Amino acid sequence: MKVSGAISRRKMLKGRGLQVGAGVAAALVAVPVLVILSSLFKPTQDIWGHLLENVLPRIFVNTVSLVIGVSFGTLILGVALGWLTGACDFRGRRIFSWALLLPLAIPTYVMAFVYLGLFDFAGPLQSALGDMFPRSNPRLPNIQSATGVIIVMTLALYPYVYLLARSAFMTQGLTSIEAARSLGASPVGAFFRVVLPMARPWIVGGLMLVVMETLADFGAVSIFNFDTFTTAIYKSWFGFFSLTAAAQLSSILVFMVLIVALLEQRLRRQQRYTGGGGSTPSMARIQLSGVKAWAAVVFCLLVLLTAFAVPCLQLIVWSADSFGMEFGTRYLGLVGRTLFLALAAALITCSTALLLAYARRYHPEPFTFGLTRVATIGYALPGTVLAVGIFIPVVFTDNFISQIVRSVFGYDLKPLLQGTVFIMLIAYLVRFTAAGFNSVDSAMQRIAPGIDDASTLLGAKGLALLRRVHLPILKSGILTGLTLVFVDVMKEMPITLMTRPFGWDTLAVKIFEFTSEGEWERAALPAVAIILTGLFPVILLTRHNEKQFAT
Amino acid sequence: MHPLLEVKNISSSYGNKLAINDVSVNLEKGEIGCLLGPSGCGKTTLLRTIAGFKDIVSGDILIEGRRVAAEAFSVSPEERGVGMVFQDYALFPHLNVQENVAFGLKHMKRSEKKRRVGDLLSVIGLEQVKHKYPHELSGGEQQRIALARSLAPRPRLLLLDEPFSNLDVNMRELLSMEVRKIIKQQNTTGLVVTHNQHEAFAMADKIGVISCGRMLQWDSAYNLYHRPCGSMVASFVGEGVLLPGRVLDDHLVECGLAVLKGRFSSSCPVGAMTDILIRPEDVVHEDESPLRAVVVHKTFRGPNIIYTLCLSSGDAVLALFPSHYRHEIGEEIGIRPEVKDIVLFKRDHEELRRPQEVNPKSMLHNESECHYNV
Repeated sequence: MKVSGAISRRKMLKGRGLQVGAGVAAALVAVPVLVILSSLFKPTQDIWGHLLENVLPRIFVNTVSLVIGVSFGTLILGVALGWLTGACDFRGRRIFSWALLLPLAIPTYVMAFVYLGLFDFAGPLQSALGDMFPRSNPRLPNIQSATGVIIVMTLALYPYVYLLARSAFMTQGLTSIEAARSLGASPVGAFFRVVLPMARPWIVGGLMLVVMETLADFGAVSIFNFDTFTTAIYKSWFGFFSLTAAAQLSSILVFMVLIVALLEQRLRRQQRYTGGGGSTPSMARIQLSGVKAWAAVVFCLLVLLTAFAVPCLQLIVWSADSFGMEFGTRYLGLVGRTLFLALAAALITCSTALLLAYARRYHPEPFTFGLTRVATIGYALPGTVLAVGIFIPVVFTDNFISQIVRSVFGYDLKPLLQGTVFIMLIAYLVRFTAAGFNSVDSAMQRIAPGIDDASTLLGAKGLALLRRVHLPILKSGILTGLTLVFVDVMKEMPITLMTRPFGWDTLAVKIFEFTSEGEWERAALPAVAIILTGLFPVILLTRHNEKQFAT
Repeated sequence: MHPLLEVKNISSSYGNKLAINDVSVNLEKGEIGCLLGPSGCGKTTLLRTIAGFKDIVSGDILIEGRRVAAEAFSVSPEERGVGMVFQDYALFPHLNVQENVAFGLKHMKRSEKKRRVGDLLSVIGLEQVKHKYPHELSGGEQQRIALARSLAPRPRLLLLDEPFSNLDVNMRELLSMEVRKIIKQQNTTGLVVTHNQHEAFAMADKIGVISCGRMLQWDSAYNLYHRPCGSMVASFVGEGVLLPGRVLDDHLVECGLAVLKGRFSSSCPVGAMTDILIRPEDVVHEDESPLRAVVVHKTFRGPNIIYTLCLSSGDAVLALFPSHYRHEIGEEIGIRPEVKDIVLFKRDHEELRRPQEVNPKSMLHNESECHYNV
């Protein structure tokens, strides 16, 4: 290895610039995490005592019950739907298999406010019910409850479990079932003794993603007024103005999240071993017919309606109602700023991802692998935590600089970094590097180690090598990375809310503001824009899956 | 006493296409049968109908005299008492070796299960890996575990679908003999699907040659080789060429090689056009022989060399000589036919074949296509 690639490597990249870059990226992630973790050992203030007594028990119970409830819900929905579309065959199966991913385009907070609006006292469901039974005028159940938020988040997050469970069931094929049945197991027995255990690493992997999203969720729970760690962090900073309390709450949340992230990474290693036979994934399916086929269609349709069609319809109706009032230069300004931020963040993030991928390629050493691991762990950090973790060192740096300026030049300097777009972009970078890196690096894996030497021998080296060989291979990966980060930033709420400079509202922030006033109709138009862009990665995902399984 | 397995005139289809067509198979208890045929000929489908994973559209399948499948009737796989070794082994990746082997054991005490698993693992010689997981094993080990797993519930019939196709050549031969030994030792009955005739010869008591969904011949290995019922079987089993010829007499037939005298495999009227099967060992080296042939190709096989010879008639034959007879390509040598039992097939179309040039396509090869020119 070393000998064969030595010449081209030396000519292409002098020294260790790539590793230094990867080090910087890793440091950007490590600093906020360390700041947060170290705050646990800081002397406590009065506010912390108050939190510990009145807030912490409640948010702990809330967060844990939310995580358990949403995990349970997404597990049932995801596995059932994954089994139906991954291993069975019935009329409409192909359409459902990608349509059931569509809810991925709807952020949890949009799902949350749509359902709150639907079940609102003045909402369409209640008035329809009142019209139907004018005498008794029955009341809809109050969904602003733990159960309500669990159901809403389940509808928004089940695709993670569904996607992984389905691909597990598809790669398994039917051989394992046949093997079990030839050994005397009944069809149901085969499902529970073989199919489900074999798919377990994938299913649990999907669940871990759901758990991380649930722990990190800020928008949906704050719309439901359901206090969890994330809302408590926000409130102790913006309500009590205590950055320390916010950091201390964050440190607890970080511990929870890191445990989940570690479990998830371990599971991903297990998945490699438990691949099924997978000889004829598309041919062998269980044919459903009659009542079973109808039940499957009804079930899939029901999920699709509640998780995608109904929310979208409601949003369209609201947007149409409020269009005259909402659409205008202010809205366009909002869209423009959101797009600018998303694009800038996507470019910065993917450049960093590219740098990390090249660092791994040209310095395949444990040290580089460690740096990239650290640099991509940011996806696990909840936005609220990250905002706090970045804000503290920024304030520290600002104070440090202004102290120096005051002592040397003798006048007061305005804070340099606080409340700048630059810091906001750094925060996005930390949070979304993994999204960009995974796409870019999987493309990088396709450039075989010998390709550089081969093209050097054929006369393409240096920039020509990059342009003629690397870029064409990496292009689709980079584009995927750009799209994913772009959309993630567009719908990002807590980081934007907590680090934006004055006047830098985005669509998501506007939704937060409208919904905290209960103005569902006005929040609809920004939500539609977010969902429309959110459809792009879903399309990318389905295309990728189709290529993978050729069904 | 019923035969253990009776497959009577079954057909099975995928959509409108018949995958197996009017196939019959009989296996006595303790026998090992082998289904031989090119890929896509329907042999795996036949195995799956017996296992119960594929329905049949006509015919009957009986195991120990009990009907398990007929038109619109099928006993579910888990109730047939049939074990199966899958081509990709289908070991359960989430279970270790011990748990895999014990999977099919039901209604047994823990200690009994443990003993049965231990016995089987010692039979296959893999007790030392019982706590390992499938991905930690080599291909050959996985294969043997799959065999042990399928034998554990003591199936009446064991089906093996291309059991050695994922192994390297040396491994195959070793394992096919070992598997035969184990099946016999466990006193069960086996049916193996393969496309490799050496495997079939090594394992089977009876071999069925299948082509395009039809059973061409269900017979012993000896008969398949020496008394093939048609040119398809002749071409699939063993090597050799078919030479066009004409019947002169009850025991005499004329072909490009010589006028051959011997017992006919099937009676042919005088003057009929036939194809005569000439195996490589039917052609003997003899320097003084007036019958001359030119070496056009040779393949060294260790103990012997297989030569492709061009006759003066333009026909080509294969000849197997001990490997110390070394001849160069282009050399003219003397040969003598040594055929006692003449295998000949009457030609369906009375076309007169021109003396053909040496054309590799006229040679019979093991890897024949489904529609070999007959």
